[in-house]
Amino acid sequence: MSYGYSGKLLKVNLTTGEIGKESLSEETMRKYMGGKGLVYHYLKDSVDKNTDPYSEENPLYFMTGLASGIPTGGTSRMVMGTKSPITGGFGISESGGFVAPELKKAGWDGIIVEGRSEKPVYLLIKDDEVQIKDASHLWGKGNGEVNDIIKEENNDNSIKLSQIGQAGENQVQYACVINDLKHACGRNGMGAVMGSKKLKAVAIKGTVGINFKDKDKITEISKWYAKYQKDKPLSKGLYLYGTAAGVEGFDKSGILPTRNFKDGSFEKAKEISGQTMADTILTERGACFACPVRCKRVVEINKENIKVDPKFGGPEYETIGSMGSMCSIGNLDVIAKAHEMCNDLGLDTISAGVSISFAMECYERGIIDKEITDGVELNFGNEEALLKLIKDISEKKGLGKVLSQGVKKAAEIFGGGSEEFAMHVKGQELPMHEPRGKIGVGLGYSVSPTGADHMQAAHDTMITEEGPMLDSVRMLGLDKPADPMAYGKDKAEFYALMEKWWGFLNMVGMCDFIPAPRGSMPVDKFMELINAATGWDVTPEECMEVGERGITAARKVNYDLGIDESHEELPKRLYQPLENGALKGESMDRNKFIEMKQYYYKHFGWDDKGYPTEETLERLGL
Amino acid sequence: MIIEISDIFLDQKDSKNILEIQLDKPKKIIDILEEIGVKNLGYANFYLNDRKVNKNNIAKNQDKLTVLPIVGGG
Repeated sequence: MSYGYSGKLLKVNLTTGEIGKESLSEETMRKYMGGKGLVYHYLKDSVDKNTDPYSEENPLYFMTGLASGIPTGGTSRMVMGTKSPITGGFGISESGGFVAPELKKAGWDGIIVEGRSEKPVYLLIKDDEVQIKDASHLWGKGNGEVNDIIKEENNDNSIKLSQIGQAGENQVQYACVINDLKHACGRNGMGAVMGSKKLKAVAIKGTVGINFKDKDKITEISKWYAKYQKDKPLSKGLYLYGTAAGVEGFDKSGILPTRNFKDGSFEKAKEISGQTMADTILTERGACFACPVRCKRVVEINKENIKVDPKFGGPEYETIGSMGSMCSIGNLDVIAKAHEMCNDLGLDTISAGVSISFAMECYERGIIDKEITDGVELNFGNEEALLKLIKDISEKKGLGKVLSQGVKKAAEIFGGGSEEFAMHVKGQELPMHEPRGKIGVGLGYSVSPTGADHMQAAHDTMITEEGPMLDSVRMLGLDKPADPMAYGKDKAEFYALMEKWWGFLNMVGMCDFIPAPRGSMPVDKFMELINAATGWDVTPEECMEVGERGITAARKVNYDLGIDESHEELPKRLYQPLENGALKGESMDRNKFIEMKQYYYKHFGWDDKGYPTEETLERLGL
Repeated sequence: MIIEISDIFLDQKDSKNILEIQLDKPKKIIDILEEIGVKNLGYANFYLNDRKVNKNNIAKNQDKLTVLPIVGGG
């Protein structure tokens, strides 16, 4: 008997209508622990260099992990996977919310979607009763309306939903999958692939439950953590001000991406901060499944000129950065509206915001003009243009059609030297973290298998001195703080260790905001939790090896798909000086960066081109 | 000197975010904050007159000190 997971995956072929199941052995589950690892396990043999991401040959995965569904907090994560239409390589995207726990409660560790339907459909999962249902009446509608209709036509308001909006239907490259209207598998184009399969939604109701080895222990840890985290600064900050708690700190430190990464400080940072949100439009502190931290925001605006519906939650830091400081917009109402629109249309707020910011810079530089912008004065700070472009991108209309392909393609179309400030890696737009003040994050953007991604490892601004932050991760082998501005072997090793740990969290289905170092739960307590759920004897060393396996596995898939070291270039702008803020004049040093990357490759047992050696693959069972 | 402290580091709901205190002599930031009872400073970033500094920097009466949470990812 398996504990903490069911040992079975739902397999649906949308071309043939076949519905079946795939068994998952204990050996496989212990090797990968779920999430990203399971995506690798199935994706590696399913796609090759020639697979079109939008073809029926490209599978789409919804994977949970061992931690998903343990009622403790942070245990909500779902990992989607596919061959990414953005990078052409190993694609994953994670989200919190309620879908993953619900899927496990329905008796499934994940879903493998194959093929492509001829007409729009949605998947209805009620435990082991699974149906492919017609969605013709839902096609063309936004996520908010579809959420209501599916719940109503199934007479169940408690159904959990993964959905695509019009952006996914139209295969906007960075269309995302929205879970229960508030949580996004935002990156790598999961919504576009789901749209190519004509799969409008996955609706889940689970009543079977999850079989845990030691339920009493889980209850004990859950009660302890709910109380313990309350006065811990890391949890308290997330509760009070959400992920936007750091806006002012980023700004004062000169690392708040502003005006397409030209600047590191935004003069209206305070007006778009988590603190201001709490004082103005915040109506509720929301939570993912069973989480006492409650970092999610719910906002509502009922003004004559702008209304924002609270059912879509509220903007995260990434949205505040990408739609706010990046576009030079210091109006929180407008940012909240942009967030609502993106969640309804199913657009990744990071890629959408960076693409619009890029277009604003192109306009101000005279690379594009009013003929291209359809008469719009597309200067930084134009609030109306931001909202118009979000809609136009989702409909692939006018300038929106160009921007729907991301900044890499847009720069090729616009020309005029705009590739110098097209902020992407492997085609994926940079998140809201400034590598010129966090060199480790720059390394992460470069080597991440999924393109620029800020959730691969704890950031180097977090552990800058001896103290409780460093103490919280000594058990993982980290024994030195990091200087955010440093390069070299120590920085490469800091990043590699933190990447293994966060890599493991992405596999096991755990939110990075709960265990140390980003969260307040000690590492050993988290190990107790996993072992209580599974009956295993997992140690931090084993977790780090699992994380390492996931990182190396994703890299192997990418190299097999032709995404190699040559795709790891950072945007040229990062080698140019920041124009304002505390780090004015700072730029990255390309030679030192390349040297650091070699240390990083070596740490993982990869060759000087970044390909895992035979010995490494054998050691990790790959 | 003026000290602005994020709520995250305040125990009581009614604690003031902005304090004005008089220093008898220039002191280390960490000592000033410990004297006024601010806890959990291992999770804080310090800004003196809007410039990022560390906890051992010396502050003077004319300075403005801001205490904000450590910035990470997410």
